[in-house]
Amino acid sequence: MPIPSTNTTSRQRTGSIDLQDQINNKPPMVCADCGGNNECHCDSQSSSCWSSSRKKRSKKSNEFNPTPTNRVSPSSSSPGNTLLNCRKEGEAWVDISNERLPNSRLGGLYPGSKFEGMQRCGSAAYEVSVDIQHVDLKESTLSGYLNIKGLTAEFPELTTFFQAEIIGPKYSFLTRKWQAQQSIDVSHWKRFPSFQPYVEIFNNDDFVYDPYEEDFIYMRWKEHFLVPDHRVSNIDGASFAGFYYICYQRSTNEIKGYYFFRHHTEWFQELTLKHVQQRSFGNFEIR
Amino acid sequence: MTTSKYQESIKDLASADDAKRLKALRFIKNSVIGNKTKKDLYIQLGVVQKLVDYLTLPDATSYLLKIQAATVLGSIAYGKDENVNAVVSAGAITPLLDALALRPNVPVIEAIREKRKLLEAVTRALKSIFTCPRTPKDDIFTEKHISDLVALLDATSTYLCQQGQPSATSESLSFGMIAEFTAAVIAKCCDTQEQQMQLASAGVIPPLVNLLHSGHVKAQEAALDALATLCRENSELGEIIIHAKPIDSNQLTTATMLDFVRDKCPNMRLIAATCLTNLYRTGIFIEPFTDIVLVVLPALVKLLKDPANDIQERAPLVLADLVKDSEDMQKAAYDADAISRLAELLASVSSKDNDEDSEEPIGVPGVGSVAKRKEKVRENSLIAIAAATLLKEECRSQAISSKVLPHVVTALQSKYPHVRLAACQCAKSLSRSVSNLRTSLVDAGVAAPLLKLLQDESIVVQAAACGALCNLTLDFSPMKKSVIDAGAIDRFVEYSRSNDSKLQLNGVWALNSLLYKADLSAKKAVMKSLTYDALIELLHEPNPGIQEQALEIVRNLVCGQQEDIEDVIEGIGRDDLLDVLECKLQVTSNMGLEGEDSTTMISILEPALYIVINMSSSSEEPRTMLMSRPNIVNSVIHHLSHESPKIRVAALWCIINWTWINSDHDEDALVERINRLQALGVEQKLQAMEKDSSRDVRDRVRTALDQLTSIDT
Repeated sequence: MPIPSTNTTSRQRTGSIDLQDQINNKPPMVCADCGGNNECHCDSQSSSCWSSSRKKRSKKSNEFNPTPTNRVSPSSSSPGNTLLNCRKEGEAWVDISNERLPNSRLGGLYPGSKFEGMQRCGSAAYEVSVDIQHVDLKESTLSGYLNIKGLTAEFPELTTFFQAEIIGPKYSFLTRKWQAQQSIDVSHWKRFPSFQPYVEIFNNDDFVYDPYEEDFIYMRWKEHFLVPDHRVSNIDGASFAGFYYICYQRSTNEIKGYYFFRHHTEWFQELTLKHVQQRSFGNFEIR
Repeated sequence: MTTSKYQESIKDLASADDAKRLKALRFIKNSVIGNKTKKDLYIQLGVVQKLVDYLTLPDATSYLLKIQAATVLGSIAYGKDENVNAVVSAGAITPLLDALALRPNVPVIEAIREKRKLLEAVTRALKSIFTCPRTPKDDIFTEKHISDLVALLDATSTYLCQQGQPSATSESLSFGMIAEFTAAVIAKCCDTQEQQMQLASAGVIPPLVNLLHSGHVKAQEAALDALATLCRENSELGEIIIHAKPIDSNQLTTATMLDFVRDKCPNMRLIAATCLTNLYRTGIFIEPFTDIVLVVLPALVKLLKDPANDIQERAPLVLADLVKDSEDMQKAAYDADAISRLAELLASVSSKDNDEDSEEPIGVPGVGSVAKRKEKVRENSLIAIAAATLLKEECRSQAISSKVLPHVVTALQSKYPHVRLAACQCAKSLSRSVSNLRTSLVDAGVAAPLLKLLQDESIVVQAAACGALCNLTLDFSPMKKSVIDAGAIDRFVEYSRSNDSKLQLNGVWALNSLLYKADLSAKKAVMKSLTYDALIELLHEPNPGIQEQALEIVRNLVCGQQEDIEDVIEGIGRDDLLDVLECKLQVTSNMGLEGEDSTTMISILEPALYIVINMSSSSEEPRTMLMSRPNIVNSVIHHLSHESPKIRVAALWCIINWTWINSDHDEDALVERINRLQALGVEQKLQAMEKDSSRDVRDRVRTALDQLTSIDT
């Protein structure tokens, strides 16, 4: 007689109820094959009676993707596994999901991390500082402020908000936007000596760069608007219409980058930054 | 003056003459069907109890009377909750259920045939009664009643399936209705898992699956609805359902349901989509279940545009359930254009000014329900947008470019609390983005209405508004200042003392958000309101979520310069602070934390270690203080081998900060610390860590080792 498998799900049930006690100590058995109640008339020990053979959905849990702490205690009427559609009348939930969004970090790339250095444009050089605001390794992005001093006479310093795409499984070396064709990609990535091994193959279908254990992290940084006032769209003498090709080395905590904008006369404006050593680390988590 | 004919009919009910009684019943029936006023009138006249009494008479003598009585009761109960209440209070449920009993020792089909008109009337009445959500369900769950229901379902479904094609004979139609109403009762009566399991054990699933193939549209809909209820959060039953095969076909149930998702009737499509969503949510499908994305999701998106019935109320909620806990599904929803559709739907039921305030003239038929429906559509589309934008930035961007924000802001000011709540959830999802906080959210002016909701009459709305404000109050949010200026700090502090766990957590979380990167004067302002005593209490809360936030608060308070650290030491008290750290750093099992597991323990350990790190980052005194407690030192060393890489990194940073050389520092004290750590075997541990599996760890170890070995002992 087939025995019901008791643990058929990777999710915790809301409400641990002992079925045995419920139904006069008879195990609740309805055979899907023959419809028999409490007694199975199938002659096979076949799996379809109590399918234990289906694969459970596995939640991949690693440092960047911690298993969310959404184990709901049976007594709370909180989301977790429960359905919005099935709330009792008048039942009101504060949250519709319990999944948390912890911050992630990759070497010196973490919220609050600062880098300082220079951006060189021909013979001119400007002081630059970068302030990382948020890192989301699941989405393979990070964001931050980029501050440049003395770029224009009118503004002793300018700060932009930028969003970074971390090259990896989600973003390939091939930009495919911002007016950067493959040849542009090649000519810029190539400037990083560490990119040598990938020059020929980075465009292959089966090539994926996995940054997590590598010393070199590649990114594209795109500035989007000014800080503090995002509505200012035009600054005389300055523009952030292009983007940076970035290479960050974990072991030295240094960033090298090249700015690209199609209509610029001078390409390959070089950015060099060093991580600012910190000993004290605050924290926040997006709710 | 004389009695009205209505009162006459009531009097005749008590007559001894059966023919008179029947006539009276027919008269009543014809009066009430489709007539709200008459229903109310007859209830007033006390007809309900009399009808219930009739139901208790034996079939043999009073068959026709019972049919009429059941029909009238069913009609009265149809469509209005108060009437259902009247019927239920008169004790109608049990006699109705009893009337389902079939004559034993006769083939079931025959037994049904014998009383099919009565069964029709009774099941129809039960369906109307149980459609009201407040009807108590317990009476159904006796062994007898369940088995009667299942027997009925079983026999009728088999009969219908064996017919091949749906025929229009009155018997066939009758059986179809009995099946439909019985399935509808099953669908409505299941509230708890025990009830689900009871029904399943009684064998309700195979006949429901059979019904899917019966060809009777309404019965199919009802069966789908019932199956959706049974597999709700119940993977065991979900498994049974998807493996069940109907008697006349080899098709898998899921394939059948997918066919229904493509049906020409929108209601059928929606119920089928709901069923598949519920099944999918139990986690039983082998991934990837592409049809969920290829068939169910687009069907739901399309249903958003269907104005029929209450489709637009229900579809968004099913969509929300489908996507809320899955990043992949949220991405799929984005690809399927769900978000722009939801935005359109939201726009269609919102308007510039709150038109809820425009009073419709009384007496306009159906107006009340139109307003109510609009409110529901608004609420549910807000919830769906909130669900779809929980995790992915591109989803949020799409929502914003679809112009949902103005409607969210209006909805935050709605007079309906559920709409306000949904708007808060939507605002919160959209605020999970640095970019949005700095641009569209500040432009749309969400801060002011959210702040107002901190005074809402409903605690749940307050908590949800506070949740959204947690993000608006982060360092990179340009709205942070407005939140502070509005006096919200005091409110968050009040919440931190609340008995409501959600409110408390969000209050403490908001305080923590405020303190991230705050300067000393801001920190002092917060602590003046919160007080260190209250903070200490929060550190000792049994709820690990609160403890974690409290520890993060301390972490942020001591992140800074010497003054920041000193302020905290003074505020909490040197020994109390050390005691707390000792305690939290020794987190192991049996710590009395609710719901503890390794994730919980890490969530306490990590901020505790960072408090040590931050305190050791500046002047000598705090460092010495910390190391004066052997337990703290030993715990830190112990955690160098913790299973979690981020804990190992944190422990390393403690060592680094304890051994870093700075010309300002007291060299003797440094040497003493190094010697002590050496004596505890730290060097060996660090050497082993040079081969750590985590790159972050390996990158840090070198620094620690260099510092540790820099002084010749």
